[in-house]
Amino acid sequence: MACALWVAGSPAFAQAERYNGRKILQVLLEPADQPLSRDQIGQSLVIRPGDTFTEIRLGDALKRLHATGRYKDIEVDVEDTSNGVVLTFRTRPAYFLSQLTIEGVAGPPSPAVLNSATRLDLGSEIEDETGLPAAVEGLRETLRANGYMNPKIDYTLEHRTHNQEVFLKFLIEPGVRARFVPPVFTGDPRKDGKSLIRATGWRKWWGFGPYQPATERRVQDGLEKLRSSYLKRNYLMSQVRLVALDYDAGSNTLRPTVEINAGPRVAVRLDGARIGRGALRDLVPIYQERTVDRELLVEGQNNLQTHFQSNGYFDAKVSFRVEDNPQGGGGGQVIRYTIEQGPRYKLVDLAVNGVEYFDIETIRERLAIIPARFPQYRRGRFSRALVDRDKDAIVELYRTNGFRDAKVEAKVEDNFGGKEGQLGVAYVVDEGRQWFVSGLDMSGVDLKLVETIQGLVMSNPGQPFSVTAVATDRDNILSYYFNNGYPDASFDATIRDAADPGMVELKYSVTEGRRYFVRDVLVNGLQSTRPDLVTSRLTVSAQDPLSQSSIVETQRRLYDLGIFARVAVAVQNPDGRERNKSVIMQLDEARKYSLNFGFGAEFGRIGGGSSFTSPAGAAGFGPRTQIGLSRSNFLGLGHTLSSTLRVSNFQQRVLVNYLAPQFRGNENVSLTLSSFFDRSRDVRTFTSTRFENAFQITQQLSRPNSFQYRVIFRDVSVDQNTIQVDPGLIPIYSRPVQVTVFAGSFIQDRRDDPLDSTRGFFNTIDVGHAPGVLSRKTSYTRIAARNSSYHRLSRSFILARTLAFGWLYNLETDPVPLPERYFAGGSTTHRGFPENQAGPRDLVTGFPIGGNSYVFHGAELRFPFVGANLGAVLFHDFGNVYSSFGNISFRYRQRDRRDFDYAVHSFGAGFRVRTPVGPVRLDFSYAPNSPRFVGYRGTRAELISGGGQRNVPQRVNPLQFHFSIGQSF
Amino acid sequence: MRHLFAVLLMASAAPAAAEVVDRIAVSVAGQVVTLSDIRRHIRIMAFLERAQPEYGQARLRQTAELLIDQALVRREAELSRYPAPSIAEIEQAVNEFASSLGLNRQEMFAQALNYGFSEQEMRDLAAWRLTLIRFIDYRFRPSVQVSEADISRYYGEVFLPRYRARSPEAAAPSLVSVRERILDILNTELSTQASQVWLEQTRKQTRIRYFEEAFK
Repeated sequence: MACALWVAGSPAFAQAERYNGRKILQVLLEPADQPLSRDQIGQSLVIRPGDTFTEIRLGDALKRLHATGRYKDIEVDVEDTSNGVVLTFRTRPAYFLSQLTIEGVAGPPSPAVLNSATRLDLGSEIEDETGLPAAVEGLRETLRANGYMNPKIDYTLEHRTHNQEVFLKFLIEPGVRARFVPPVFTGDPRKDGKSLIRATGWRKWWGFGPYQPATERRVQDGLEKLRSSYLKRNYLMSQVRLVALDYDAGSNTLRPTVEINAGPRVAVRLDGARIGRGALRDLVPIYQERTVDRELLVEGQNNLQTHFQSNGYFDAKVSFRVEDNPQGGGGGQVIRYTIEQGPRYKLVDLAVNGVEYFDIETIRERLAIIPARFPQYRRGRFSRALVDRDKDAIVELYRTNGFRDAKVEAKVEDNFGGKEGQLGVAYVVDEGRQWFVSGLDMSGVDLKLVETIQGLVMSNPGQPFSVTAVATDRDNILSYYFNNGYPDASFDATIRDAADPGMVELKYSVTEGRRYFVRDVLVNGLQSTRPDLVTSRLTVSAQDPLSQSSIVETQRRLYDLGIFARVAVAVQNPDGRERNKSVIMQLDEARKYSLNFGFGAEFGRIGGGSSFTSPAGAAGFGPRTQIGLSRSNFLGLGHTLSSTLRVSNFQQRVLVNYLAPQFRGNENVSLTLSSFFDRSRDVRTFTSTRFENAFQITQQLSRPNSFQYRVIFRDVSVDQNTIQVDPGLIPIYSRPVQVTVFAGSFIQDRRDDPLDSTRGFFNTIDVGHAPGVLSRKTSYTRIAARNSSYHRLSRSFILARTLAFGWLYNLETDPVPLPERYFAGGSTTHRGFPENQAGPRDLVTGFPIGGNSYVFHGAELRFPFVGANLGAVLFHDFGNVYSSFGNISFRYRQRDRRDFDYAVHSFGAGFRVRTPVGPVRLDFSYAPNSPRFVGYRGTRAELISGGGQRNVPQRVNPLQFHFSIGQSF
Repeated sequence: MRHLFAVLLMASAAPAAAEVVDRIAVSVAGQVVTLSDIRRHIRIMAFLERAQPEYGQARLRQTAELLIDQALVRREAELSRYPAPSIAEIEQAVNEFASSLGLNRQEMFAQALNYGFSEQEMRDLAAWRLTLIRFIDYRFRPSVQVSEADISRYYGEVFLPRYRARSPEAAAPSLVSVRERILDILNTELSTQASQVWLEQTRKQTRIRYFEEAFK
């Protein structure tokens, strides 16, 4: 009967079960060149010569081979012989996407959007028959959404059999982008068409120019702008919907049809208190959500209540009601919030009681409510919501330390200390029992890894128990596995109360899963970059465990080169069960040339013209502009060649810079070659022309510590017609200088934030030597050092201080020419002076002539002033530029108008506005002992001829102001 | 292993008299359905129907679709970590399976052998049926809502007409007495409907590739 059943078979294939029980003589694979190694094939195939053939085992073998992911198709032949059967597995390899490029489209859409539109994943198998038509359709949809209505999309596939890679390139001819034509507005817009069109922005020049080319973003932005226009006029329930985008092929235009229903006007009124319009819109979410429902109104009520409470009205009550608005059109509404502010309080006391396990500071630093303190929180920061948040924070702290039963109560005391309007808050903590881990049972971990995994565990026996610690253990353990080739690892924890009171038993069950290794790293997409530049940055290599962190690290190192717009990393054949996986990196090189423009201005005591009238400077304004051109990835080495032209009132500079980061493959060493020509008048005494070439190597020793080694060749000349000193000294001071300086710097930066430091320190020391044999007219050794430190005095107050010292040791008998001397003073050194106005002055003209030493000390108290973004500082600067090292003096009084070797003190205050690029700074200073000196009144010709008025008493203005970006130090 | 490699000769061409005995027929999200799977399933169906297996193209395709559904359910059950049936439960299911065929356990094994299935394969089959039932129960039953109105409607429109057709003389049981039974029937029906909807959606989201050579 059985035989009869098997007879009715399908025509094309033999019945496998017919061979059941036959001996397998040979197992063959065709073609001979297989994507898997013999080892891997051996592990996958469960059928071996000498085995007995069964249909089920053959099916299993076929499935296991396919499960490796390396095969697109497999079929099995049987050759029947008298002694047994010969099996032949005929295979077709799968191909995996290694590179996806899309050419021909000028964005938008951006390359990233186009890549995403293909819905093809790097590393995944490419199926020509199903994957690519869908990808083409995805691209077409995206292009049409961006105004390319008839794109021609073609693609090429390049198969590389060795690694089963396929390189897919889409070639797109998008055609001309369609333009908008006047949209159709339907519904009840309650506005005229012109104003609606203007609101969309689909027409250039505020609605008077031609229509814009259509893009997806413009469509969405236009709808959003329409919504906003209604919102501004209190149509909070307006509905704006794109109904259609009709394409006219003849004119290549798109006509949007937009349905607008303005709906009723909704007004929000406040009774009992006043609040700014912007704040109201922030607090009542109907503006953001653009709809009115009870839930949002209640949320607005709570927000308003919290707002008034945190402004000192701790008993504030807010209620609301909805009324008809006769002026608001059909269904118009007025939402009336009624605020009972109650008395205004001041939070004067905050106590935390019942705390034994932690010190009070540990608790306090987690609290959001703040007692009153001047000037930032004049009434304190308090609200019921903040109290609840504090209670949760305290409980969470206890629970993470094993206090499973911790509870916190908050007691708010009115009229605290018997004074009306004062408030005290006390948190009463009931710590409860601390729970500990009595035992930890770990299962599923490979014996070789037990010690390592145990080292990662926090919840060891005897340690406090907390769910947070268990979660940390889970994260640590899984991270270890994920980073060591076990992407499928999983973790389960079981927590059970132990027999002993206050103890829990933990059981960690780990399922390691299969371990994967790196088969190869396939790098694609390099156009001009040298391959060894990339390979030297790889932290992933063949035979390593497949580690997620190594892949991410490689990605980071490649991005750090600054030459790739995209570094896409994927695992080839991600779903296949082969043990060794190839890692694919598709690198898209960034644009090589970039052009940048910059505009800025200096504002402060910088100006005053070039006459002799104001040697100590006067308030001035100096615009500046900059244009730069960069060529990145120079010679495919990852180096950058850039040139910059900077022009301002005080300086004209052309700079050419060559930067070789990660020099010779060393991540911690960079090389910089720079050359510039500049003509500057930043020191008001003279105009110099400088030509400088520098060669610098920077070596990062560790994260905070670095060395710089420099050789500088400098040629400086001073324009004799600009120099503002005693004519008798002009020949000495204006000598052209050619120096070769060998210099080295050590920099130690342990600041938490270089832009706005709150703790840490910053040390630099720079030593340079200009030997006489390589220099002309001068020879010296120079030291400049700085030490700055930042201390947090309390939660809000930061004390910052800095000490700077410089010494120029002249190795010649003649004075060091002006351009090589120290000039200082100003916003970053001593705020009692205008820029570069400290130190010795010419005894005839009164202009600064620089010195050979300087000492500056600055101390600053930084604190918040109003809200979170406006801070203030009080500062004291003292010090000066001195004529020589031996003349350094901390004397307060200036002996006479020829004495500049004393310490000038300045006191002041300033404001800091927090911005993403650092604080914007405005400082005012008063220097009671600012230098007095004698100047000259007359013309240059009169000065040379001995005319004019000499010994004119002058003084550096004791009042100075400085405006800039960034902290002073 | 070394001996295996020695004979894993990489052939340059297959023997002339060879015939294809198995191949991949469908790939479903990384899993495959082989031609031998399809054939075996046809034989199982034939065994259950006490009929001759028929391997025509239409039958092959129809069976392939069933196996695709099974593959999707299997994958979902694995991902969701539904508990696997125990040995005792499988043995119980084998007995129930046999009795549903009007056979005892040994008779069923003996007849299955005639269709090419071992005892273990029959156990696997029973385990799979159990897994499938559980999957539907765990995955879809909790979301099914049967109202009293549904029960009343079923009682009036389906139960009573069927009962009267079967036993025209007997007094029909009251709604209260058959309520639980109806509830169970409706739950099962609705769960099955929900599972069908889920299957349709999952199929749309899954890449399914047919190897036409298998169906020629």
